[in-house]
Amino acid sequence: MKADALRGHLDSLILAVVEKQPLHGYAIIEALNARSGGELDLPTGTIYPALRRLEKAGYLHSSWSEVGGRKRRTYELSSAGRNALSAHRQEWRTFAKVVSGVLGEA
Amino acid sequence: MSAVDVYLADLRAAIPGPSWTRRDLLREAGDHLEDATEAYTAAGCTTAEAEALALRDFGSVDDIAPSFRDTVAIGAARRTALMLVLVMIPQAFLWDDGIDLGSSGQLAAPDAGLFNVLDTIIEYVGTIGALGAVIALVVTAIGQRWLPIGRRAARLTALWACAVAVVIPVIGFTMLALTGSLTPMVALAAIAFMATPFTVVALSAQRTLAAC
Repeated sequence: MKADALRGHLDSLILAVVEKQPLHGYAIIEALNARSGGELDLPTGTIYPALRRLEKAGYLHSSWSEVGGRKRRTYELSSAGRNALSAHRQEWRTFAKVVSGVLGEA
Repeated sequence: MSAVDVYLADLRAAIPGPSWTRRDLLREAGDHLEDATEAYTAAGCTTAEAEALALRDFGSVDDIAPSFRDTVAIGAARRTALMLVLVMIPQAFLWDDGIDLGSSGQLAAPDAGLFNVLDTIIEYVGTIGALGAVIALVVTAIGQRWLPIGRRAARLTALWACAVAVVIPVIGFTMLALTGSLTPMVALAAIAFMATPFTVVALSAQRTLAAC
């Protein structure tokens, strides 16, 4: 799946992978790859501006912590981020249901 | 110098702006490339192959730099807006209710009309300037939840701050001159409490424009 198709959804995907536990940037990319079955095809460098944007928007908190003996900036979902993720999930279910209903099966 | 070091130097060069806004982003990029290189090395690649694969996955500087530039510019704009808000708050006290610099001298009759016009202008510029700064501060922070904020918004914030930072001190000093109260002490107070803070804002705005 190309980056263009992800436009507008990348933020929610990031929020979803940090929902359960705080993760640093590389771990977020790994989690996105694992949960998408390796189907996400976007330059991994694009994740960092997105993380910064989500943090300033109040959806993520970040802090420097020790990960595997190294200092890494880790990101954690805020309560506002949890609400935004929940809202996006609901919108996505509605959208997917509508599109599936129209497209039908081949 | 490794391929990753060269890449990070190129990325740094492609992102103009204040160093404090770039530092964490570039550090995170370096950490990511270090982790990715290690992962490929652990999978059996040579160091050179691992670095090349990590850099391929990360994206070319041409692909990555625009979004990094947006982030840096917005960060710089947010700081400029915050500085403008902080500088504007005491100005009302300085000019109206507290020190009241503008009315501290003897107003010569021929200049009273011009003084009143400038007084009205500075009231409006002050109010609108402060309001704009607060809006810019909100937009460049949680405003990103709803609006696609980029370098254009950062540039607008910087130009706004620059205009306010020039207009208010110019009008302020003119008003002081008109009242005839521009003694060395008053001039020093005006430089300390008005010209200097607004100069700091203007410099921050200039750095923001450089990041755009």
